[in-house]
Amino acid sequence: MAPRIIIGNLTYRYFAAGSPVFSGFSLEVPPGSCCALLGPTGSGKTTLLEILSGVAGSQCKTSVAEGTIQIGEDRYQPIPQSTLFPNVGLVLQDPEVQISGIRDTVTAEVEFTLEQLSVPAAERQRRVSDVLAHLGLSPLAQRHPMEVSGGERQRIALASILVATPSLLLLDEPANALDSRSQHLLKDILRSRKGTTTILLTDYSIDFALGLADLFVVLSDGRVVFQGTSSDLFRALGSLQDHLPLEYWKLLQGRLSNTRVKVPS
Amino acid sequence: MSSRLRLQFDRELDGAGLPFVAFCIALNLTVGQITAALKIPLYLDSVGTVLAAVLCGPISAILAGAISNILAGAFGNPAMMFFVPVIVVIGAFSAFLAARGWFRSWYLAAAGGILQGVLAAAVSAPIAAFVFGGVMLAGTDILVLFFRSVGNTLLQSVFYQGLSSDPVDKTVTYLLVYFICRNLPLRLLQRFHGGNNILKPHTVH
Amino acid sequence: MHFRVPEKLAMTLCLLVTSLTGPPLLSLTLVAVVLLARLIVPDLRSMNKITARRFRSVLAFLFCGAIVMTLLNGILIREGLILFQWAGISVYESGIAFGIRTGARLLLMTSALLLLFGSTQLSGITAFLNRMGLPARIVMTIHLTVHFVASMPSRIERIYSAQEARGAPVRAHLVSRILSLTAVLSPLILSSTVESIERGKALELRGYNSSSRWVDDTVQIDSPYSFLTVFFLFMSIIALLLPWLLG
Repeated sequence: MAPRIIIGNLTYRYFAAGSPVFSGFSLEVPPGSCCALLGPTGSGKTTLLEILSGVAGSQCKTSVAEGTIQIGEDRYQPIPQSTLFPNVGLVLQDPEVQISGIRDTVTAEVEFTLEQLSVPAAERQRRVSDVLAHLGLSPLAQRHPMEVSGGERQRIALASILVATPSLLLLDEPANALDSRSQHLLKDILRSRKGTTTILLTDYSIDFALGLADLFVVLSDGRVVFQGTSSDLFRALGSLQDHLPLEYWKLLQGRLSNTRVKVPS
Repeated sequence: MSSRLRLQFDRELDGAGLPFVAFCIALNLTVGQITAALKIPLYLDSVGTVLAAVLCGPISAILAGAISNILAGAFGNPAMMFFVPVIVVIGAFSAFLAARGWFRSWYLAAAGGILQGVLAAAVSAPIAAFVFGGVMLAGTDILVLFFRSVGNTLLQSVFYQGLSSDPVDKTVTYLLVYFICRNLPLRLLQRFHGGNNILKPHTVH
Repeated sequence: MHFRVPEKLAMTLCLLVTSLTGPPLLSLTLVAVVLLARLIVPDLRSMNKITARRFRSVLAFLFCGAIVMTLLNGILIREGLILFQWAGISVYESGIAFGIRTGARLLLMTSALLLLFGSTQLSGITAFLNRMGLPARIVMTIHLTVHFVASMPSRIERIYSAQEARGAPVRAHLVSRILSLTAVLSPLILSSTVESIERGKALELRGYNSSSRWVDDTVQIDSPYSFLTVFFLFMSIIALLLPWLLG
């Protein structure tokens, strides 16, 4: 079942003496919805995904956090201390590192995830074949995972997470370096998961999230400066000028103006 | 495996440490390409082992060294497999020095390199002498033959040959690791258990 | 006669022990047997052109090197009978005998290991060892190492060219070149450290953690028990006892 996410008053620092990445950060994402995290570089988008996936708590040995995080019925105070896979799946920005590099075929690469979860061989094969078909990767099943195009590699990285059927899917800049055809394909895949999976994705330039996300959250310096629908965002854009770097504000304005007619009300 | 060793093994080879150890092994195996390209007459083939010792800990260093030599054997230099004990000593010794702060200043690192070189020569001499008769089919064989021809025993000759090259090689290795680690950004150093082996105690807090 | 991973490992062990304990004539005979087996036993053939080329070039280099070292030993170790003299240079018997002994040993060791690794996928060997008790994390480390090794030459080349373009003294005198090592190694280690941290994250995000008891069962694992395996293990014990058996 798709979980509701509630982040309450989160403060997070990489080092005890360092400046906070988040300070009193709160956010609620309804179950089964798709939420787009927007914001300039360094606003904390990726860190938030890493905190929610549990990898930040597990790997950053000096970080300090306060607040609470609730994912479905599970409550963490302050943040998850180990990765929450397979319930929560995070697709990293660079698909090349998500691919283990130790398997020779796309099938074996995706299957590697299920081996970690000790899924029996017969079920593994069924689930891998299902997810490859769902993502349009069946024709590449026997190809080497590093010898495919950028868009295909992104889908393989996504398949390696989706095969574990996470109920919360986190994607870090999923459209980065994808051509428009691959972006449309990926958007269709994500749209089909809405309802059964809660999706949180980061998108620097908003293009990918438009027409896909139900909730738009704009971050700046670890604070939420806006949350609402894309139409709300368009209306509120003027008031955001003081909260965002000018260059980023202009980028948002340009992109939203260009695609205004397509924005669902 | 004792529970303490097991815990250390789990701690060092966690999700963050394991790929780094793999990179250190790859560095050991390929650093020869860099020295060859720069025409530097040094092996530096334990640079990855020392790096793993400083940033991850003794188990990672021993593992990095042992796997490096075994894979070097697999990739066409089988003699390396017999020198696994030497690289194990190098890994353990450099982790021992790192934990005691010898990589926090360049002069201590250089001194550690000299000690390491003498130790490596002493441990490798019996293997080179008794397993290979001092013949490794490398340029250094000439030195062994020279020392033998002037009246030394085989073991002495191999040890003297080791003394003539290992301290220099290990000192350069230690200094390289010192300078490289010192230049690593804090955000990266914090990911490693051995980050404090490089940083002075007051640097973080 | 099938040589699968367990038989090949047992055979390699037997050849390595023999190289250390057997007389040079036996070692050289076994080198010839290895060369022959590589041609006539399908399971022992090189997997691809690269491994076949490596087998030939390494053995040819070692063979030439062994002859040169044997001669140098004969000239420089002046013990025992003089075998022959030429242009004022004497070649001594004990030096030649010593050179032949160590040369034959190196040749057998090398050919045995090249035969094993040239005819077997590393993943097959590690999967078998994993089943026999080698910890999963060591297997994973080996696999990731192979991945890093494959990508290393292009990384080194890229950084080396960039440093040269920036005017690093990569062609200057020795001390400058040693100093420039830091200029090449620092970016290499920095970029690889960032990548290894990202890879570490990615592994954990796919369920890999310290309690993983991962076994790669996509590779078919051979039963370790067969006549050949037992035979080679038995011969390894005999080889171990050779010095006593031969007095």
